[in-house]
Amino acid sequence: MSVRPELTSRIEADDSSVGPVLFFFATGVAWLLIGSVFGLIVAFKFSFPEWLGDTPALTFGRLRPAHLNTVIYGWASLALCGVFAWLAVRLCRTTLRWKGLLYVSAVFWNLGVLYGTIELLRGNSAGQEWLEYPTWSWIMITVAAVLFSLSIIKTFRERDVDHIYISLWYMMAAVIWFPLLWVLAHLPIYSGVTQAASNWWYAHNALTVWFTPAGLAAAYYFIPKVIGRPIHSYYLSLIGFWTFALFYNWNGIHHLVGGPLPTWLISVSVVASVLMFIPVIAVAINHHMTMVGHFGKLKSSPTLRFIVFGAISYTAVSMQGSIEAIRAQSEITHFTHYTIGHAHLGLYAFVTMIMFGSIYYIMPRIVKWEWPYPRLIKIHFWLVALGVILYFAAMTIGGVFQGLYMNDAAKPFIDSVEVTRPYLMARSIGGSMMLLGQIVFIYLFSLMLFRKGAFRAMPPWGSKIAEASHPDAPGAEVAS
Amino acid sequence: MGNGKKNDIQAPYRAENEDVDIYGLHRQALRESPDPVEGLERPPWWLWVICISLIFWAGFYIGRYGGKFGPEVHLLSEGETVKQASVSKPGESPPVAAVDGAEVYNRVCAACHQQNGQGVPGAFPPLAGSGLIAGDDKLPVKIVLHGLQGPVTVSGTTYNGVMPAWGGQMSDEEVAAALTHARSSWGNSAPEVSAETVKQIREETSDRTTNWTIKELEGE
Repeated sequence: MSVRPELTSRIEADDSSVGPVLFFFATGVAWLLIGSVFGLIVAFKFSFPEWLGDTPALTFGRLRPAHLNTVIYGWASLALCGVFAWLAVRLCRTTLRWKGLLYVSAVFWNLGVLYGTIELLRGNSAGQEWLEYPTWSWIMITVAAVLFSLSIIKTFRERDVDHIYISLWYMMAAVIWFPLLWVLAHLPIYSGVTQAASNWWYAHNALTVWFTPAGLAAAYYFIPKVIGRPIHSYYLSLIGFWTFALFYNWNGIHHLVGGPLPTWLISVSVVASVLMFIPVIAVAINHHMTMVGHFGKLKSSPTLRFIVFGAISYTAVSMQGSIEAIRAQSEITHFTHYTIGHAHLGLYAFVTMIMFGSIYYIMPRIVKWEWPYPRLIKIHFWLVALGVILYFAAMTIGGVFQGLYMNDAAKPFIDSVEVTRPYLMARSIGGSMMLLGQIVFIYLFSLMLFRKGAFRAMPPWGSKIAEASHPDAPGAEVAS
Repeated sequence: MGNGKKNDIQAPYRAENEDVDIYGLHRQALRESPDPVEGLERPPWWLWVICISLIFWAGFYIGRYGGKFGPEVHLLSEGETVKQASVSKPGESPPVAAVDGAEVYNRVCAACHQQNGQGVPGAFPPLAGSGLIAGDDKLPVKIVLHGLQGPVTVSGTTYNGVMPAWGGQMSDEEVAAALTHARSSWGNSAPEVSAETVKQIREETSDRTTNWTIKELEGE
């Protein structure tokens, strides 16, 4: 097989993926805004329970699933589809195949999420967490996911490379696993305890086969790309990928520790969760050793800053998850705010931050326009980074107190509610910072979309000369 | 190559009538480093130590807490199986010598009668200041074991509901401890109920299958 020269193939690759990638990003970013507003209202309701309580559509029971589903199926899924489409063509050194399918897929994702959100707000939830969308909505998303996968698989089949880079492994795994998982979880064949088991098998596997591979694929590509050196070890990539594939799928049942399932099922799930230490450590070593000696680049590259924040969060959230699955801890923290903190560490501090970083890298290459206003990128980073850290810290500490109070039979239940009040307020403040940061991001993104804002010259990569000669020049903040 | 001509967005960067997009090539070459490759460093030795330790632990955990891969729920290991399963078997002694009455009350009774014994107005009668619980100890034991339904007047208010039978789910010691707690809290000061009394009443009323009514209890 002949290998295409990289530069020409990169031009073609970027050109061929422009349309679908922009479509996915732009709609994903819109859902991010909508989903975050839902989330923030929900957060403030913990401190002001009567607020907006008179409008049925804005009550907690409807807004909460609406928040969850818009951010995972609207924002995170659409953003990662865009990243996948862009990365796949680059890494396969070819052009995007069956591009039309991607447009149809993007339309169906959006219709599915839109219809689902409206139905959730009208009170028509399917009633299982992560699977709340009504029938038509999941059928539309099924079509979207299958078409998306077909296009990416076709592109992969037409690849023009000898070696399949590690990011592609994760991406191909994701596009094969996710449609299967999505359809299996929606089959109307589960009832009773089995339904709970299939529900959590799905919900955790959505992370396993969809969001985590996306985050890791992007991190594996962008970290070495931005700092311009190889990824540390192919062997660690191997260990990381295959143990990830082997253990992660079993994790979901740890959500049902203490539930009426056969003991072995839960025990196996606890064990698999703890064994997740292996892939997580392998990936962490791989990323860290690649970064060593280049942490200075975090200052100049927003992409790297977001991606490294996300990669560190991946290590943190996975290790926390492994420990959370152990029965002794689950007894205290399971049904508390602690779990919500954990979920946001995963989907925000890890997945969303990596998606931000990827978008910062991809956008200038597909719209051929540099990010205007580097200072706003900094503001975006610090608002969301500090916001999510505050969010996580508040929920974790508050959750532990809540759990200890609930387990203490001598304390009235209301004490376990009262004790969380300051923490819930801190969470709302953290959430507000995240939303504010995202508004800055959305402003920047819209400028990019229409190639507006201050014109900035293309910053050459690894521009030691440029940095040395004009350290304070507008181009010093290199948006790559 | 360079078929991006149909793409307007490239226009500022491309000279006309060029087969090879020189500007684009330079742009790509200058804009970013080459696509990443994978190095061949060996994993650190301690990663293997972690892997092997975790796999050993996994084997131990599944062996110890795997419930022999049976369909049962909440079986931890052989010893704990017996203890777990027998905690609330009727008529048997629980494994721990002293049962905490407040704990049992909060777990079983407080859902309706509330932690402060005040009940819920209109739905569940209070235990604080109730003559039914603080009087003869046989009466509350019977109610807990077999439940109560129909109208009942407590502290001047009439309630008409159903209390389920708890005899099947609570041991003698647990019933005695919970009642003793209720009889000595929130201003109540009746003597304690012994597990023997509960056992005796459980035997006397063992053929009962329906809830009591207050008429039956007071008629006796």
